[in-house]
Amino acid sequence: MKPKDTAAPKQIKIRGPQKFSGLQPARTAWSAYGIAIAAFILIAAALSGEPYYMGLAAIGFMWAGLASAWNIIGGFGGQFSLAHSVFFGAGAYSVALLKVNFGVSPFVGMLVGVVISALIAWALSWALFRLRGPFFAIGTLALSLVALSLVEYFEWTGGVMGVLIPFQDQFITDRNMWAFVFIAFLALCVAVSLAISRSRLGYYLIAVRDDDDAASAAGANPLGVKTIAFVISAMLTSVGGGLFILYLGFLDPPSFMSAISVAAYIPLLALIGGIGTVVGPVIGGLMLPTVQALLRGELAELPPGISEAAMGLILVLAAVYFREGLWGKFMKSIRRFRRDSNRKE
Amino acid sequence: MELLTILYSGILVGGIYAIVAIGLNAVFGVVRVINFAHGEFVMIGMFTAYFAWNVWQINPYVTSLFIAVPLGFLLGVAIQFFVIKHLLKEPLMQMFATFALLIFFENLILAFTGGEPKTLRVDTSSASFDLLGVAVSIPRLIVLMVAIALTIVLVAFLRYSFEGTAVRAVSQDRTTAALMGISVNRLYMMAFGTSGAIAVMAGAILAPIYTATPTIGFSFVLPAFAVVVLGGLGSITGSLVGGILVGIVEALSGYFLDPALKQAVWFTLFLVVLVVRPAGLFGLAGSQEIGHK
Repeated sequence: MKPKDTAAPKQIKIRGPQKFSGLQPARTAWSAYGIAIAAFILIAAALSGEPYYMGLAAIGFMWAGLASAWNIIGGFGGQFSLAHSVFFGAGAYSVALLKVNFGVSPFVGMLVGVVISALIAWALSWALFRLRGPFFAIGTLALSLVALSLVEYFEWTGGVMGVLIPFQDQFITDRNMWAFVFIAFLALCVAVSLAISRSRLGYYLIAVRDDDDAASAAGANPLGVKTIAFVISAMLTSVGGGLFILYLGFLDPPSFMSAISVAAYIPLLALIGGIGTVVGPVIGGLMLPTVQALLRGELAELPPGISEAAMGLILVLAAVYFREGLWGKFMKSIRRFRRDSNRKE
Repeated sequence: MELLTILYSGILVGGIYAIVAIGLNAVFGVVRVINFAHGEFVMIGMFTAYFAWNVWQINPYVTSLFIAVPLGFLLGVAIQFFVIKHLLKEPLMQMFATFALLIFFENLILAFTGGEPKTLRVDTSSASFDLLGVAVSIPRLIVLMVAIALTIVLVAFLRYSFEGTAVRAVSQDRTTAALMGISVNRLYMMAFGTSGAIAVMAGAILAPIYTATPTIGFSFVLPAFAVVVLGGLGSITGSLVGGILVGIVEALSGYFLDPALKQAVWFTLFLVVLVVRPAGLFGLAGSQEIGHK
């Protein structure tokens, strides 16, 4: 006789409840968010009048926003996308081409870019999310390369020459304003990221990242959850691209869609800060470009390449010694400190 | 006649992709580490051959065997020992680390060479012979021959030697392999060393064909990834066939569409294969699932 099939439900591994024990009440988290944004505004206000530092700050805030946007799918969802340059580029091209060819306002251009990016992300997700782990990374990398070679090929995108927005058409001519614009962008990205991290979507994403079979057994729809996160992340990235072209005034295809300096750089920022957290990517995005620029200044007399090589070495060391990222490491040591002091009592 | 020229050039370019991909497969197929810095080894090999020729007049083919192989082996082992060993359970951080290594090597060589492109000219550089009325470049043919020879040696090694069996065991299931008494760590070291040796050697024999620049590594590593995935993870024969396939597709699309679109064409092909059959043409179905859970 067949033994009775008890149909035991699949064991769901709950990996590390400590991941959630650090969650503060919503009010604390949102107040911390408000304080941080206010601090950024104060820093930018204190720096105004120093064009060099204002430029650094603007770029730092932009990368921090992009890293936060990437983190929604890359960190919470665990999908190492190297295709975000596609959305960054889509935003930039929409703004630039509509402005130059039809005189469309940059706001409308940005909106168009956001819609296009959302559609691209949505259309590709069914194919891309069939790939797992490293294959997803390689597949998205291939995608970003196809995109770059296509925009450099077609004539209506300006080809290799790119697109120039004439100076008189530029959106903000006061360079000091840009730091504040990018703070607004960062505030938007972090707000979305914070909201997702405490929403049902965020918990589903983390569940899918840690074990998608278990998550789907528990009622989450892995493909749907990843797709929504990918689309949201793509839309925010596209806004960043739209702002960056307005900031630069010149769309040079590699600086918007290159595999190394955009597609892989954004994840690098998130990883060095600490992925899967709200704060980590912001820290990475603010720190890395600034350190890079300062290093370049310090080592200016040495042959070209030395400062970037030093940067590479620092990143390798960071990968080996700060595996959880700067913020992850910091939180870990705080947790250990708390545990130790609890034990003493 | 024209079609024959395209076919030849496709197959010869394919040999170049294959030789880079075979080295990459040693690591990607066995250790399941995405090594973005693999192309940098090739680049280092090109510069090594260039300087060996210009300073000591050593022929690049001699360099490739006696200087590049040991240098590459040491480089590979060093990367495994200092970086990857610490990140075995962190696939995202591995990508991060190898990407950082890419930035490091690229800029280090840039600092050493001043960014000046270096062209290695030896008397065999532009040599060619006639096959059915079409000229075949000898340095490229040598690369293809080396790729085929490497494939035969590695396939035989994997199939018949004891160590080769261990490598296959580890690439299928590293935990069980460790339980069977295989030193996984030592094997990974070997895999990285072999991969580095093949890459630097490939760089040396590519030096007479390409102009060496510090950024050339990245343009080798991407086709190599495509080839590895097309051919199948861990399948050396797959890498050879996949490389030649990519070369032919590139040559055909360059002729019938536009040379500027060749990248877009074969990356699209690659994406389609990746989605339809992630295990690759020659890989065991399901082999893509192993090792990243």
